[in-house]
Amino acid sequence: MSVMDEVVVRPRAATAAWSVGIGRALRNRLSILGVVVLGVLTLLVAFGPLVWTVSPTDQDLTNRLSGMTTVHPLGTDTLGRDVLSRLLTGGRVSLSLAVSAVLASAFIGGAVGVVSGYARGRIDSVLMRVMEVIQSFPALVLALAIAGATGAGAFSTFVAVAVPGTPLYARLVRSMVLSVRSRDYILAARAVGVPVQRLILRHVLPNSISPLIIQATLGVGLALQYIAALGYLGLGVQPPTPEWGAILSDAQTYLVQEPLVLVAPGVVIAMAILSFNLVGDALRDLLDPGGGR
Amino acid sequence: MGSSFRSQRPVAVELSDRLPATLELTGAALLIGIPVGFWLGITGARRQNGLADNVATLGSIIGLSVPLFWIGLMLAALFGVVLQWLPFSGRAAPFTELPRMTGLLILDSLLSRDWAVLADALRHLVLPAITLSVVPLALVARLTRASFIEVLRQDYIRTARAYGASEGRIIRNHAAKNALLPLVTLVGVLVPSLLNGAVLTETVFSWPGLGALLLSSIAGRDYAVVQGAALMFATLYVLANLLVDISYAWLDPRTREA
Repeated sequence: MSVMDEVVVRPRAATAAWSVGIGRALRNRLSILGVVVLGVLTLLVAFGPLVWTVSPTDQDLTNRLSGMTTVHPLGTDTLGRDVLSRLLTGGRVSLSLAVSAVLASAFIGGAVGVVSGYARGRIDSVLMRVMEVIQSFPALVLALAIAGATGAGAFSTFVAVAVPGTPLYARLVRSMVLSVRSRDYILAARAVGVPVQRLILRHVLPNSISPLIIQATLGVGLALQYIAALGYLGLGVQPPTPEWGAILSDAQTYLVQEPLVLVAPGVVIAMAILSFNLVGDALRDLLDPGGGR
Repeated sequence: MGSSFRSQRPVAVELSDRLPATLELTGAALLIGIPVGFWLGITGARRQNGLADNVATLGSIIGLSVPLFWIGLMLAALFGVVLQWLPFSGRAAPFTELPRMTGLLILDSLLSRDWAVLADALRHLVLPAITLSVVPLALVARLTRASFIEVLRQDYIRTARAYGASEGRIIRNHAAKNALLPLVTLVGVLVPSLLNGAVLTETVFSWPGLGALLLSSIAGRDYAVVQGAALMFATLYVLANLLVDISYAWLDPRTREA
């Protein structure tokens, strides 16, 4: 279809060129914004506590809910602790938990997927039924049940977030392995006698890695949501250790007296999740142009 | 399922006490989220990359990123505390005599023509329902947009345009049926997000539903109830997925054989 046809056939669908340009720039800028925000947050969380040395756990009961001051740029919480310092230190806890939980579920799920997709048959059915059982619970409900059963704390948060995520990676890797293993070059490798382990590590896995990376990046955003939710519900990391969700939970108690204490922690959590989602979307456009959306 | 060791009542009774509240909340959230998301998606698809489209796209990215309970807290802070327009705790004003038939408060007050309770129940429902509708709304908007853009590219749509059909007519009569089909599978994503969200929303707004029951039972180490509630959530989820599969086969004959 030529350009002329396009114009004749779809007169009303034609959108002003500048607007299309804005759309594209928006997508691009959003990706860049995601990378920038993620970088800034990582730097803040990594080096912030070294620069801003106010203790996140020291209480100053005479100076509670102070509002913004020069001593406490983001004010103090209900126990007079410095909110900025709690957010910075809390970010270390939240982000490292999220990343490690995702790594764990991607690693375990990936292994299950490879075995399942390569072995097929009975092993495949058993592994996939186990994954389906995990998936039949809404993720947060399962996470709550796990956290409830194992007792609150950092490690149980890690387990509670990693377990519901696992089937996602298992199914993804399994389908990749299934589609790759029937290709001719795998057949050729098998014909010349390449051992199975080597076949999987050298030939199958590298071809399934980019969807895994995309999924994992988006997964960190999701993990941050669940970690914050667990912290908020009081089943996550326990006080006095600061964690983003728990900081919000503390602030909620004073919702009526001081609604503003909710803003800063919420914005920080939202920015972190948003940046992982944007980077994940950008990676999908970059690594997997045909797929998604 | 055994009995709750806190209340000494059978777990089944505890669950059936709480289920209607959760159903009412999730139903209301869907009633807001699906039509609005749908409308946003179609608007975006008709004017791809237009101003409204870009705003909606940005909004849905943000909506999917902001923690749900924080949205709830902010709404409660703004409309409940600062402006004092709406209540932000519970299903009805305390100490009111509530009609009780189905447990669905809105339906019960309608059936017993108790308009004061109805108005009160609706006012209590607004903030939690809006909070819970954010994620479904964003998901529906995103997928509707993608689905309509795909369909509006088809040849038969071009034919309809060539015949001079109006854009509204094309959307309603020609595009909608085919564009809606993939949206049915969206229910499979919507339901877990709703159930996850219900736990958080019920906690923020002290809504006496299943999620709140699950949490208070975890806190009280009432494991029989924890098991029962988790089972209930899983059942709702699996049932919804079954319903999707069945309705998909019914809507699209091509999938029946597989």
